[in-house]
Amino acid sequence: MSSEFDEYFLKKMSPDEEQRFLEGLKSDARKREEFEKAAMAHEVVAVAALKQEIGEISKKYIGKSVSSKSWTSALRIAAIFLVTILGFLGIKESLINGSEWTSDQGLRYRVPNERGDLTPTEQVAQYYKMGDYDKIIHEFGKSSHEGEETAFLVAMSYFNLKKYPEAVENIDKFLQKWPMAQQKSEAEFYLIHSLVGAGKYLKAYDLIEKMNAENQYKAYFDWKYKLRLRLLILTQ
Amino acid sequence: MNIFFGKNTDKFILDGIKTSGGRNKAISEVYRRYYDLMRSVVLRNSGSVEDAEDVIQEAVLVFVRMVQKDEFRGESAIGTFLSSVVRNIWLGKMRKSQAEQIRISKVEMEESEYVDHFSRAESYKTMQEVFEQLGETCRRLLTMFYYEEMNYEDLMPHFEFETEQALRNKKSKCMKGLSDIIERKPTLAKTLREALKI
Repeated sequence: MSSEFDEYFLKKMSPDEEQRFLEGLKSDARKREEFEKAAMAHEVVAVAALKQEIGEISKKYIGKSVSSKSWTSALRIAAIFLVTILGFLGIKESLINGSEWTSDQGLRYRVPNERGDLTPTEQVAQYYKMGDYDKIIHEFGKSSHEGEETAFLVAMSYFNLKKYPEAVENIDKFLQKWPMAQQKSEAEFYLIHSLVGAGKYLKAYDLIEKMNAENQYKAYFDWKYKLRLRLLILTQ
Repeated sequence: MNIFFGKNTDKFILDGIKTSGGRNKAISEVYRRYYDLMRSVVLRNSGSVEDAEDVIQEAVLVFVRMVQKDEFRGESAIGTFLSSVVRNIWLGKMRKSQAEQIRISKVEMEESEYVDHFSRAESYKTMQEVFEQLGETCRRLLTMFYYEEMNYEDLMPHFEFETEQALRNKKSKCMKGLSDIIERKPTLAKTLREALKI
């Protein structure tokens, strides 16, 4: 295979050389055919080698992650203490705020459409699937006669629009009105995120602590999440 | 400290991925920062821990290749983007295995985006299988030359060739062998031609 191809693949050509090389391919059909084959083989090497590297990083990360879970409580407390001190010493400026943190996690509640009788009204569900959250809020947000599913999607619409204080208000109302709702677990999960988004870190922390162990989302709020939340509380 | 708390993490990751010297650290940072988030997407949609590990590796591969080819435009945050890639690949796998009992409704995505991420992941898997068909010497040689960007002089101590010319010849043969395997897979060749725009 031509060493010229290698120079191209390894990006060792100057812009002028690269242009001349590509022009040359246009006028030489045989060379072009050879280059196409080499380019395809090069792509396969690049992808396979990258996959191998990612696999090794993954293994290393998962190994570390498992061993980190075996930390003793004392070490965790020491870590919290150390990071807290660092926070006071000068990293306060670089801490992201709760709104950015919540938004950065890319959460978006999705409509389950296989829950039989509990599926939200078709219209709200349709708007929700289309991402028309403003319309949901406009048409259903003020109604005091809305059903359980509609009320929940109104609250989720505020969350998706990053209107976290309104999301808190609506999820709160929802949980008070329907304490045994089908979406109770999800509602608590998004309430905590909305509280963080709204800057109410202490309340969010309390809710995590009070969250029922049977709630499948409780595991999401692991010690790292809580540590970060405590930092936000301290630096508020 | 910026890596943990700062707002420059996305830039650190994106810049690092594009250089052979910074790539490993950047991908490690992707894992450190977004692994739990990506994993939760699979676990919340009826996947197991093992499923999550596989899907995350495939998603990171799709993401890294997109960054390397300047196809990731940074319109969304890295975490948001990775979540959507994980979701699309997982949905694709579910559809492929026709696991209708699984609540795939939770992972609805725009069709075009879903097809793109999932088909990329599938093509990459085929490419890896093709590469595996080469002998071990060829795999090592090509990886070290093209991926780790080592020159022939540096490669010599790693292989049992008496002259540098013999090493060069071997590398050419390996590339020819790989090209032949690709040619025997017309679907892959077509996908590669389209991806490389050749």
